[in-house]
Amino acid sequence: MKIAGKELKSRLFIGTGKLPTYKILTEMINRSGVEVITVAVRKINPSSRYENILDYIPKKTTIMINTSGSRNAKEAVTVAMAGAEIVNTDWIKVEIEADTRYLAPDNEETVKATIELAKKGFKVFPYINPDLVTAKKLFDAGASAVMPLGSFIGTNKGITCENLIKPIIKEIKLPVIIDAGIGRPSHAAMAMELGAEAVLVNTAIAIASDPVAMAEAMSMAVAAGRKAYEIGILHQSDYASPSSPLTGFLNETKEKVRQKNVQ
Amino acid sequence: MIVINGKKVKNPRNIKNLLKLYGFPLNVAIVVNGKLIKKNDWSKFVIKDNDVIDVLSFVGGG
Repeated sequence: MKIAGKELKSRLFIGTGKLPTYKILTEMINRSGVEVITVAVRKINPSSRYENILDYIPKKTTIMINTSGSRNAKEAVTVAMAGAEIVNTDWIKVEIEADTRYLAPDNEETVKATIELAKKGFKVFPYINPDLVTAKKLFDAGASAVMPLGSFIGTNKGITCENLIKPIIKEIKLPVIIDAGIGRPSHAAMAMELGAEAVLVNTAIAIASDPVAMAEAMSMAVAAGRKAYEIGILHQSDYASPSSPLTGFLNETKEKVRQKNVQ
Repeated sequence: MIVINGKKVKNPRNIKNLLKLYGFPLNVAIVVNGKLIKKNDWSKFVIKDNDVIDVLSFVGGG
């Protein structure tokens, strides 16, 4: 799989918020095979106690800078550029939320930030409410992918907007990465079965009692879902379809068999 | 006086001084009055009184 010009094997991207310690990141990345992780930019305390998350991220890992905490396009662009000053990456997740209860992304400001950042040469991964028209604008803006939410951040509700995400996958010629709301491996598998290129999971892994093992479980689910998608997902039916022949039952009489044959 | 990450402090005049005086790591980004000051420009940048400075770095985030 190629995203933003980078060859990737793993379709699971991991967010690093809410982790019990940064220390487990190294093992998590190595064991799950994850190649892309997100980090956020914040004001830091002037103290030697500041723990640098970058110390725990293997060099081979692609770092995606998340603009979370930005309330508009201008702030998001500043945060993205600030992050790119600290670490050598051009992958930016544009996350702009003007709402604190649902952390709902502001699609309009996100399009503006994407235009600006793409112009500056960044690989832009916008986090959006699943909306086809916004996704079209993001394509025109030069985004490297679109990242519609499955459900709101940290809710663990899974893919609740399937019917809004499907048209984006079908119509937009960009990788679709389902981001947010994925609470279980089955949700991750479902995202992949729908045809998503990848998923981004944070909370469900970070707050698990064993985040490293949960990252592995998510990774397996993503691989399984993708494999099934590539093979072809079967259609659903309202009626049963027997998996063994409907003849040769114990209770079957010669008369019944004869009648069946006549039919 | 200037404001660093929301706290009123004495003006350290330049960015190198700021980081040293207030104990910040070197691998940070500096935003002054909402505008990013690129590392290449740190040495010639003069901090003025009443500037609002944010010292940023990475934390865990989704």
